[in-house]
Amino acid sequence: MDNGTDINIAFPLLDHYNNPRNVGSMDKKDLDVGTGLVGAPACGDVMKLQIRVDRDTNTISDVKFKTFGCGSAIASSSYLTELVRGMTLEDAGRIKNTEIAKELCLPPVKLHCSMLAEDAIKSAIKDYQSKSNRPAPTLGANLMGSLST
Amino acid sequence: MNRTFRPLLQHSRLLLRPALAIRSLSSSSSSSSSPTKQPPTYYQLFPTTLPYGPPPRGSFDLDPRALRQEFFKLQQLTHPDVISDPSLKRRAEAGSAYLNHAYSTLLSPLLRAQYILRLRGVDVEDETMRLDDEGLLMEVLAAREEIEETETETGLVPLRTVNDARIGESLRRLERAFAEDDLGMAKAETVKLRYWVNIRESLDAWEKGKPVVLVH
Repeated sequence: MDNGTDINIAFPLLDHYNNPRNVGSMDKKDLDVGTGLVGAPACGDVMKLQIRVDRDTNTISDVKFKTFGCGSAIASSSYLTELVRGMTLEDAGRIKNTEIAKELCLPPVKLHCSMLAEDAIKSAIKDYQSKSNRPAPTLGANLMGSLST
Repeated sequence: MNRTFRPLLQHSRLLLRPALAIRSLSSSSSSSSSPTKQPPTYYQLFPTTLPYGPPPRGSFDLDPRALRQEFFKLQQLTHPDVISDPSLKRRAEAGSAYLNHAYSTLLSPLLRAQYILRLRGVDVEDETMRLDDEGLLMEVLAAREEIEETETETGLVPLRTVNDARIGESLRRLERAFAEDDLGMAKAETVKLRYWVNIRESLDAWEKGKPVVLVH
């Protein structure tokens, strides 16, 4: 619909809400995948954000999200997935919610939705780092353990 | 005046207090005759149904039919349309809005729990709070994904049964927490109830292939 497209261009918030990008899931057991799961108890929202990290370059090669919440929370996480793709973990960890809020022109009462998205990416990075720092608690760990001793 | 209505009418003065409070604030006169007059609590508006007030003195549970009857009586007495004095009309409008809000808050167990906690200075409505209960987050996410993957209306039936049981369990625990004045447990349970109520709304709003967006 032509009309709809015009509206989507003028209002990135509506665009990300109507056509959310990168919706989906990745295998959370995958060692290259970091999963951030955050919830805002006041609204009853949940947001799951997953990143796949390229070990050699330490950059985010793929992102997926699932948000169950209001339109602003969906749009915030959708925009964030586009923003962090290709970024180094360091840069992605420095993203501030105000960047998201500014791009989407979030009203003050919805600023907290962008904060939830910021927390989700931080939590995903933390999860990835905690995974890659410790040996996998399975057969692989035993093998690695026996190799190093 | 009907005798049974007299105490109610007297009581309906309480309803004019929010307007009074607002007026005294805006005029900011130091010679206010009642400077510390607070608007009544929602519980004070319904002395027949809720004579003991909020927990721990009164119980968390209430009789919704009795509450509704008392609400209708109060509403009749204070409705702006039945007040002819124009100077009182505006106050009556504010009072009527306050009464409506009080009723809908007390009627909903979730809003009631949030309100009781607010009266006690416990904030469960701060949007910057984060859920630290990992188990609850996983359960909510799984429940949400089940709804999302459901193909037919009948597929929702078992999900609804499970969720109704969650709500029932939460309400029982809330009743106990408030009776024991365990505000920590009441807070945690209110947060859970918030999630279960949202899931119920998603089940009610379900349409095949359509993502559920919450309105709040």
